[in-house]
Amino acid sequence: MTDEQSLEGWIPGPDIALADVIERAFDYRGNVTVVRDDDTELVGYLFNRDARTTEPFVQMFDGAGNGPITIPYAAIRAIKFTGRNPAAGNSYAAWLDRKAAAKAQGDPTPQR
Amino acid sequence: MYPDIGRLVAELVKRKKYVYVCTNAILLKEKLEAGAFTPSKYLSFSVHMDGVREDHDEAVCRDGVYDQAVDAIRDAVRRGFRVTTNSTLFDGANPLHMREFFDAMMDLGVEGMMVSPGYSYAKAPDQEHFLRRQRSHELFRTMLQNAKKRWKFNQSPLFLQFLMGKQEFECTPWGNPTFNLFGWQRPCYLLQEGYAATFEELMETTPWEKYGRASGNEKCRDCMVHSGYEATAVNHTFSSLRGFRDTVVTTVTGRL
Repeated sequence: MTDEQSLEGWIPGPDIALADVIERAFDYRGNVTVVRDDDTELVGYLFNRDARTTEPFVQMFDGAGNGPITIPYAAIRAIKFTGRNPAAGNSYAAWLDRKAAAKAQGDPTPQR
Repeated sequence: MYPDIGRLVAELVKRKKYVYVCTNAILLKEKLEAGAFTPSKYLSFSVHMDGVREDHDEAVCRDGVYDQAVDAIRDAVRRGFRVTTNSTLFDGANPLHMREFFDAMMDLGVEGMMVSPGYSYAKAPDQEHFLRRQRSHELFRTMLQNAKKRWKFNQSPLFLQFLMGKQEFECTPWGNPTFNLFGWQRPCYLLQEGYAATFEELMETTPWEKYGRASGNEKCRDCMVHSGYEATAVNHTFSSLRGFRDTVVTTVTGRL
């Protein structure tokens, strides 16, 4: 299983540093749920983060496409990987596996 | 597909901006039949084609895409559109197949072709299919030696010489900046390390010294992709007598 597939549904434990979770969320291709310090939640696509500034932040578009919404690292309590990962299973290796399986069953033209 | 692509292109063309619509061409024929686009000297389709039928379908992990794309190219050319191709080559690419592919694209009426090695990154999961620098040179030398005069490449001849190992260039990561819904991508088209809200912010706050081969950044070590190196090749043409001379010689003689 690839890293991207394994992240789907992941709820990081408190032992993992927030900055590390944010990096994983930034690389993740699906939506995430950001839980703020005031207990409110924002579901959306986390497309940017900047940890080099004096006030590190993430940026998201919410599920309706509104944004960018900027949230400081300091206001984030947790991030959950709640959205489906659309990239899962689309790798070249996965296609070769499907092609080999289809060929074994007599169908040489597997689709995505 | 972006639902307003037709209107977006029309508005850009109206402003006399040159537009290259990059597409896998799967939906191109359908869009042309629906009248989504109007031929113009400002509009070119750049169709993603990674080689002959077998090689292209494998590269895009889907059977039948090559034939769909060829059908769409033929239709676009017939309707009077400008059509170019872009090809990304990975390890295992067959130079003789590629020479056949260049002939096939010229036969279709394609105006110009672009080729580039795939991006190679030391920590990428699919290591075996990325080209290392030496392998890239070998592939492009074999593929482009005695290039036929009828092959039209829509790119700098010095970049092609760089791919063949005949020119030594450093990357210009800001040379072909990527802007999308998220903003200006740092630092380049290939490395996605975040976004800047404005072009000025991109240029002034990206630590450029950390990118390019000379920086020692392992992500850049084997990269020879056109988004960074073609900009350098073009700059070399217009910033040095030697670069200008080399460009003129290769353009006039057709010899790379």
